[in-house]
Amino acid sequence: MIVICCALYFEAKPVITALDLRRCNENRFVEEYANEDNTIRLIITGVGEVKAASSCSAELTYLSFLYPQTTIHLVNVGTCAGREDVKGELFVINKITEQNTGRDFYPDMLYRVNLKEMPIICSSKPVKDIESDFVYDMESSGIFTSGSSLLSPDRITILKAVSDSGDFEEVTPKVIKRTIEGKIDQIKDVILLLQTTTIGENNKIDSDKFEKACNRLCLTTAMQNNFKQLLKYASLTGKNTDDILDKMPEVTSKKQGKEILDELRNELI
Amino acid sequence: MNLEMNSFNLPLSHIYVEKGIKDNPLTEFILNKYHKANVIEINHYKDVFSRQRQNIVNQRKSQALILARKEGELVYKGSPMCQDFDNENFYYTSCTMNCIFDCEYCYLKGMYPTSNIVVFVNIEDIFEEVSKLCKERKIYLCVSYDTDLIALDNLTNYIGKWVEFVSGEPNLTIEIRTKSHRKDIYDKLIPNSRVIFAYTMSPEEVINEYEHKTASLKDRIDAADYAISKGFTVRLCFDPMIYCKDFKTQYENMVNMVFNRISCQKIRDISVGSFRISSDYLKVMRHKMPDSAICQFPFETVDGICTFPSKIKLQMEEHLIGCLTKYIDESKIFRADY
Repeated sequence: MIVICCALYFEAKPVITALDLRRCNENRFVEEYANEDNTIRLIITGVGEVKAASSCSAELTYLSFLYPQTTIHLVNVGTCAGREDVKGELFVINKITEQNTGRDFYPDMLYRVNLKEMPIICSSKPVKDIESDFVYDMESSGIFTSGSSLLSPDRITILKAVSDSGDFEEVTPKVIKRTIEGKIDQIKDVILLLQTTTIGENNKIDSDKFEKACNRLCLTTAMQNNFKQLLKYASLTGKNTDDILDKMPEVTSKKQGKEILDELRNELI
Repeated sequence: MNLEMNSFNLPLSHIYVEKGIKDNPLTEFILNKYHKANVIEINHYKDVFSRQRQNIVNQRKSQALILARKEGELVYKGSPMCQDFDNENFYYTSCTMNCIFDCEYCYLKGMYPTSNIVVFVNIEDIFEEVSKLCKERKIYLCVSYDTDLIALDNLTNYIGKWVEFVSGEPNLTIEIRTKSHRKDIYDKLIPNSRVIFAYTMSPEEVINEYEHKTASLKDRIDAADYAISKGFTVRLCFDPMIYCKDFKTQYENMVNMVFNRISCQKIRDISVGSFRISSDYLKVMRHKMPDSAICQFPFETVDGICTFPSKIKLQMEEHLIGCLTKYIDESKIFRADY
């Protein structure tokens, strides 16, 4: 699942249109949009690190109860300030510097997104003095810190299109929308690529069957852990764990349960 | 996982460089060599290396390189889980961390929070520290434990530096362990009996199943044989032994293949040991690699060390030693304590 964060509705609008997202009200703590099969969600976080972090956190916490964390990829799509000659360009961010604290954060750059890379400085207020080697925004560090409390750093991608060069009085909703619209095809390509990288959970053991088998075998907690480990191994070596669980007999003591586990171990390895 | 490899950037497409070592000659050499890489400036290597919740499995598909300065303790006492080959003062050092090879069972996956490779560019500081240790006593130092130094030599040229350094330190013996196929390094070096090139030998089935990206058994044998022919000192490590259903045939075939090619008289010594790992590392590996059969194997844990069940372990080791002693005197075989 892809979770897109945008600070402003004007940034989000072209993405919502391109990905055919609809307003949804599943998580009442954030303004969110989703596609039909719920594989892409978008939230509007509001401007600034704190708002971005708290909205992002609210959405990820909500989703982490419903989906495995390894299946979630967080993408920040937004505008930023940069040099005059890169106005209109879209960058993938490889380093985030939180201006207030001086702390640096590094998303993993594993995926071939075919975009130029750039470090970003995340400031608490709009920046006028632009240094040539950076772009500037107000949300990326909040989104990254919030995201990395649940996700691995390869599962957070920051995409920034340069809308201005510090002349923020001229940054109108129209300019923001036009900047994202200008790069929407590339943004869409990245999102579709990242969608292919989400990992499903394999080797799931039926928890209900497992619990019942443990009860039948009178297993202690430590023995249950050993049993689960045996089942994981069995599953990875091509055995059907449901069959194994179904075959576990009813015993009357822990000792007998241990003997059954020993037999199973010998059978499996 | 439904991810195509072409979704990933190429390995070493990203190089993180500590601010303080930008002008180091090795940094410049590497950055010139990989001039197309994206270079990201960092304050300290741990800012990237030690991030929380890194996905070591995905990182393996696009390993980044971190260039850094090693500080603090530079040489460590050897672990009791590693073989000291009856050497009293057993140490190891890491001039690089992590490996381009991808052995599923490798303890590095439990020890390090990342799959990215760190090259410490200040090897001279390590040499200085080792020199101090060597002043009054003989030192046995393993330099390729937390990496495969030969596999990374194109990047670092550290093998030549180590060989040269050892020639000036009469009290120092080093071991360079590898699973690499490279033979060309031996054409550039001067043999020294105190530099031991240690080749890990595994059955082809184990290599194919678990030792991803490493050299085939044939290529390892070729490389070891070539090193011997050039006058270098070679050790063969049948360690770690990995259990497989037909381990008897697998290990017997491997031993025959090795000694049909390599003269046993020319081997310095041999090590034998089953796979063993700290339970703390295994716990991390099981969490991070839920789809790895070898990590999820139901090992036995004794005193915080996980090994194959003792019966299997004994059978495997006895069988291997039986195969080896057909070719080589038992006094040349060192067994792991665990």
